[in-house]
Amino acid sequence: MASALTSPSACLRIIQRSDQRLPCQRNWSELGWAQGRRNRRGLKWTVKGSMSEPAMAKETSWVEFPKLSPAGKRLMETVAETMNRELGEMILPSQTAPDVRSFQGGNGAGSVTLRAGREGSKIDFVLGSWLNCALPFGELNIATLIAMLGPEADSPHLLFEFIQSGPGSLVVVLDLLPRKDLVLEPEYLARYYENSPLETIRQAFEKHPQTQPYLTSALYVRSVVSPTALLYKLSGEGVEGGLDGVIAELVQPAAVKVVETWVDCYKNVGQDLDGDAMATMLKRDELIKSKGVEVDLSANMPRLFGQEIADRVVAAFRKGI
Amino acid sequence: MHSYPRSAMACHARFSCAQTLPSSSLRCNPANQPGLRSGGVANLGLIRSRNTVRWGVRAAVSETMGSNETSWVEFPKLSSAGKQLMESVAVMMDRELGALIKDSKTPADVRSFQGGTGEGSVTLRAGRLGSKIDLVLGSWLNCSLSFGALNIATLIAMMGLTSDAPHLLFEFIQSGPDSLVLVLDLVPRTDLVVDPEYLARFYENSGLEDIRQTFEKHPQTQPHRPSALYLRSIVSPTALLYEISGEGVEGGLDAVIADLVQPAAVKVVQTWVKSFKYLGRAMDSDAMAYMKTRDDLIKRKGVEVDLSANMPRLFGQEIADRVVAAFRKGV
Repeated sequence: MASALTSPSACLRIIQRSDQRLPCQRNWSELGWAQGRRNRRGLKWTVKGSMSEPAMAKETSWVEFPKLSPAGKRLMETVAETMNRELGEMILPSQTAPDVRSFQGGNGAGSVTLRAGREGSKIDFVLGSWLNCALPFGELNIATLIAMLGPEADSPHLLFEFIQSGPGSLVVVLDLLPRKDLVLEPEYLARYYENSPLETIRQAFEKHPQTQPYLTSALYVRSVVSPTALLYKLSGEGVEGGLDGVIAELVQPAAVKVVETWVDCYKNVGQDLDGDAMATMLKRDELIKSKGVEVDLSANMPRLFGQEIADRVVAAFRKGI
Repeated sequence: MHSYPRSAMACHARFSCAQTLPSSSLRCNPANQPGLRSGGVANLGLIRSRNTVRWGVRAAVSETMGSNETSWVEFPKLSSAGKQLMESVAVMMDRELGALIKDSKTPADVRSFQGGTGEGSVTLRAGRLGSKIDLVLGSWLNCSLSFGALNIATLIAMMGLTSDAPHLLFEFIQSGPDSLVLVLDLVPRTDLVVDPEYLARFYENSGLEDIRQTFEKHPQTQPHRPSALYLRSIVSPTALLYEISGEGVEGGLDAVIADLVQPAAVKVVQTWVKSFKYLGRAMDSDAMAYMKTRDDLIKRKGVEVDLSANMPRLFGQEIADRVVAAFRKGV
């Protein structure tokens, strides 16, 4: 195998391929693959690591969040890394244009990175983005991680938004977005939501003294999220360690659990669909993308960065790579 | 408004006032007639006398005719503000639906039952054939539990298949004197994610979100999440789902009900009436088939489960089964 390696990215693919042969490896994260130090797989990686390290480094940190506070940065980057690690070969390297991966305008800077799902992966794309602006009330940070599935399987999408306007307050939106009408499909509700830890996680937020429920002003987005969605405003006021303390103590562990649940759904709980059901799901996903995600992504952009950048970002999003 | 023949009206009056159930006098209670409402406490103390019977007959032929239709359901166990709230809405429903709904044919032992430490009443009225209404339901349960009195009062209107307008769901759940859970919503008939036009027609272009925001901002309210995930999925994005507290407020819970809930409920019900009278659309047969499947699930997994959640425990299995059977018949 070593002799077949001719390039850093070839090395990466071979290692990933051997991982793929192992059935349902749910403990990939425990193998410390991303750090590549601890075990046989890790050792193999490290041996080649000297050759492949730049390529690995690029995939491991496919999106970063340079403008957030330490706890916010750590939160978003952990989730990004988890997505990368768990999806592995299922998502292709990003082909997003450099002027969408990094742009500036007005009082701010931003970045949007897309990675398409590999053929047969059932993943449509993943997205990681951040916007940072200096506004009259303080600094606005919007960080987003999304994974959208294709219509070949019915497991939920992943939506994670971190919206911080000022140092004391944060809005978190974290959800497994249903692919079907839950009223019409109580089986889907049971399979992905009732039989999951999501409601328990949500209740931990509900009971926490530093949280308040949050309802987005867009009625459409309210309709898109699940009954167990985490939709909360968090405050750091009057708490030792402030907002970063609350993020580290409440949000970080919850986010990890939610993303693990999402991964489990994608890997183990999904059901394949027949032609009619696929067509219905495709239509529904297209609406979620255009009326939900796209609107949300481009809501602030014209005002903060100008129409040209906003259009460029939306075009990249529609391409999904 | 109503076009019942005189003989039928007299017949109705005789029927209701001939009953010996405690609540029968209330059906003839003039305080429940919209034109005669005196506000404040309803005349609960009216004795079942010959006068009452005679008045009932007269009321049946007067302009406030069909006194028992106007007060097709009453809420005798609630506080005065709660009673006024639920009965105003029941009266509005009756008035606005008018000839679209038939008289109730619910059996007497479902219209009134007792068991354990409580009692209750469930009244159904079927929609007239070809009307936009499938059924309306009015019910109350009252129990003495260890923490105090539990009162659950419900008003529902389920639409039929000739219109796509939303259902109406109104629940008033009071456990103890100081705290109330309110559920009030125009329940969508379709998946809003695939039907943004429906969302705009019935929700975005309505005053419902403004009403919800007055609740959100009110100091005596907290958002309420029903524990049943299915129920959470049924309601609309503008649903009023709130816990309301009367603690520390002058006038207590009744004041908050009168001050915040009553006007909001009237507005929501008016919005619902406007929806089915003017905004609803007829559907093609595919859309109707889809909506029937969906409505049947709402009835079965939403309303029926909700209605019967507490009943076996509070009233026993026999009464619970009887109520569910009546609900399924929808008359």
